[in-house]
Amino acid sequence: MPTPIPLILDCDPGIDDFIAILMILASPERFNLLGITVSGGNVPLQFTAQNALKACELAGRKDIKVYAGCPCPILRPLILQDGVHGETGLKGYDFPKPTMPLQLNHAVDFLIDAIMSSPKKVTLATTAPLTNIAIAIIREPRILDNIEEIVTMGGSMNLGNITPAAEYNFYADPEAAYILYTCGKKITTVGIDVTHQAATTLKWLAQIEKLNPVGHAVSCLIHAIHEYDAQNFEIEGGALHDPCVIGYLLNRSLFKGKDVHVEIDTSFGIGRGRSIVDWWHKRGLPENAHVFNEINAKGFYDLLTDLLSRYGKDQQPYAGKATA
Amino acid sequence: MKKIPLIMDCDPGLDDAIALLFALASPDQIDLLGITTVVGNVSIEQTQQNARRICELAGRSDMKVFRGCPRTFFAKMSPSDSNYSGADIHGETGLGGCALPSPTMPLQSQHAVSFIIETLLKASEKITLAPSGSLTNIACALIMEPRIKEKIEKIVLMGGVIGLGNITPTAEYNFYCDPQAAYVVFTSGIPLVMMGLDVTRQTQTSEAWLHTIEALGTPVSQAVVDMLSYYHRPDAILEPGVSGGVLHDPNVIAYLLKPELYKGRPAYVEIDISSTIMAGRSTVDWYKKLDLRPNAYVVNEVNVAGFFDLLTERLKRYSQGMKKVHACNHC
Repeated sequence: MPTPIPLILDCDPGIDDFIAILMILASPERFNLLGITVSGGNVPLQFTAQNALKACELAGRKDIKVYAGCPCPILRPLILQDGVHGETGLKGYDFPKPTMPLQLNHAVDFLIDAIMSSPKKVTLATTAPLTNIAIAIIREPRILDNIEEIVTMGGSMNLGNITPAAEYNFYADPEAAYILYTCGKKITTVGIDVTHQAATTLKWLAQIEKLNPVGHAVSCLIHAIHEYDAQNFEIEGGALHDPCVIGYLLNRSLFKGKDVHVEIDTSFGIGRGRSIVDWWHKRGLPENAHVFNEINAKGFYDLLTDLLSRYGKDQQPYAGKATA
Repeated sequence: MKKIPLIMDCDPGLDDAIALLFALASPDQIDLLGITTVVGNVSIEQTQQNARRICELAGRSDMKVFRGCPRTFFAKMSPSDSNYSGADIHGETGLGGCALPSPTMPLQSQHAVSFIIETLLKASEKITLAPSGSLTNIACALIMEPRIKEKIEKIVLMGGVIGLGNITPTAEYNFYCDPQAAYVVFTSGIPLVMMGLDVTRQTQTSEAWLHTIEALGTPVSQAVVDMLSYYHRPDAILEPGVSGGVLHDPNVIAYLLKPELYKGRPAYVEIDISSTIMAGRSTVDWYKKLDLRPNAYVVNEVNVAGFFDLLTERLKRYSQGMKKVHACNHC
């Protein structure tokens, strides 16, 4: 059995980020989670920070370190996704106010310190606008030498989900995405081309609802995005974007893709925030990304169900409840 | 008179070095809280070392010097690029023909951006920032912690131009190196004073002024002459449109010490973050053609004689008895 990999998750919970955290915390044999960093994104920073704490407490892991980072993108005001995720980011389930503390260090300081001082190369999973990561790279590019892999949820080679051209995370901070994709490392890219292939079904939701209190909470949360995505994107249910990142880290064989060149559009035209994926190698530019276009959806849901079932049937006391 | 609490953010660089000596000679007016360095004219390792060299030359090895960002937001330019003019203009080390010994005073272990944030957050009075390089450090600090805005009195910066650029036909060097950072600063809402090329090009060194400084006979004055003589070599690579050394960055300090030397007006300034021929240009709405609120006080005139008188007076303050720390490249 391999030793757990040192991992940092940069996220903006958000419903799907919340589930990604639960997946990590259900897999201590695979992940040594150094910390969770949050930025403003789906909802404002004050809520993403609280929601990360709520996920840790739901998982019974009050020892996890959560760091608040940049409240807003580099150039433009924050674009929220609170229509999807609810005003505070976790529509569908009311969690009690977390009692575990938020760390005092800034997320960017933590990212730099933790990566620079890690004896083993760190894996970085990102599921938010890339502001924290970009500022860390600008301040201390040497962190790149001690990063094993960067797995990013973002982008689309076909249609966008926030504009016709762009996916939300990249659109929210295109300059930060540009900095990541020009940093010299090959970015493992989980775009909506694959995440839309693994939509939730009502049958699966009914199954996890009965698993345990964690499964019940997750089911309540997903119902919100299930209906939103089904209505907006002509897919069966909700796309679990961010959990796909963790799914990849746990079982790479679930995903297929290839090495390509990706460029982020930082113009202010209709393409702003688009990830231009040179899938057919027309431009002859160096490959700076591994982009996925296929996912084994059944395998992914089997994995997710297994992880959620690891939480105990009697994982209480936890006084949360489905939103009335 | 109340002292100005100040953080200087710089990339020395010849003219930055003169600006540092200018500020360090004015402890009666400036309370210098720290010097933060950034990549620019030369690499970050050289700028942070040069800042410490200058502090030691000025007899201020107690000063706090911080290492900042080693790259700009889009890293379009770096000291290894062939079109990167920094080393041409400032010499390989960034200090022209002046070879100051390696610094022995410590570099602070804290990152420049963290120092800026921490200092501002805990400040009981508002602090002025004086950047004379790319605005990368300041922009990172503003993105990480926007609440620092309330603690900044104003930012007096060297950068931009109303008229012709010096690195491209449209752009000034500092803004061109990091347009995104300049954009962040100019959209921050913080009171800004922009000392662009239009004004800084007016303060050019002459052989006669260098003789005046040399006659002061101090290690500092000799170092200043050695640095600036670099611009007066027969084979000197000069900026377009000038005949001697241009003291861009010292204008920031002169403005803080004696604002009556300068004239300008409030104007709306927008930084071009496109990838076109306009990249990094500061478009200044000088004639108020756009119905947009001024976001900077743009300076366009300086009393040149008054500027050099003030600088000479401050350089005189360095005592004759200071330890001779300077050694010439060519000796």
